[in-house]
Amino acid sequence: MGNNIFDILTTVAVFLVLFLIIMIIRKKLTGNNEHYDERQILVRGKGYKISFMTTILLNVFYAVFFYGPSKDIVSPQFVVITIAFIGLAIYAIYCIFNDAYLQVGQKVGTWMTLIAFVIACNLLAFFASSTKGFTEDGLATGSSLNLMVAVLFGAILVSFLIKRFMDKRGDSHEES
Amino acid sequence: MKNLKMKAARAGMDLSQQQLAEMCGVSRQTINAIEKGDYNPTINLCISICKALNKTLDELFWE
Repeated sequence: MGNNIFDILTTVAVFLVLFLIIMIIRKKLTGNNEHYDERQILVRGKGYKISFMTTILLNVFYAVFFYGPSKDIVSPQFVVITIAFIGLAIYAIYCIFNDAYLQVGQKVGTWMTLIAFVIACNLLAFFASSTKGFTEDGLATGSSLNLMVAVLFGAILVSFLIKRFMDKRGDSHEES
Repeated sequence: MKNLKMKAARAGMDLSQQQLAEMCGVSRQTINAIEKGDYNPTINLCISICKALNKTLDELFWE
């Protein structure tokens, strides 16, 4: 019991220190000028509403129609986590296509590099994991979560690329 | 409805959407959306745009 509390406190302390370091580096790099403008805040609010409703509806559909037939094939915990990831993906993609994902002054290239790094790390963790398969004893495995994170960020990266392509094609019309 | 007055005022000062956006502290896409009539800015942003373009609210936003 005492050991568990010590472990939890240590983990929280490590996270707090990491959070502080990231915040300090971020402030030094950006000068804290980055912000969402009023249109972006509105778009993000609408995106949140859409993704929230989608997550709720998917959960209801799963509980009402698919839980019974599929509970022995796919772990319910795995499905619920997947639905949460779908909600996140919808939110991110909606914001990207409405120019509200990046703050004013943020560089697309930096973000794309960071996202590619996250994908690479999670794919590496997925392939290096000792637990194989998506579920074990009815619970989602750590490696399946790594794969889901990689897929989510992959979707975000692809959306960024498509949006960039669309913007480049439409730029001549915007400035005229 | 398109805001052609704002677009004309910006072009008159030889400013790009990006330059005006930086002067107002918003994204280029927001300026583009206002000019295209896809987004109605708040009064604070209207005032900021007017100051950047040396125009009054009436000149840019009154129909």
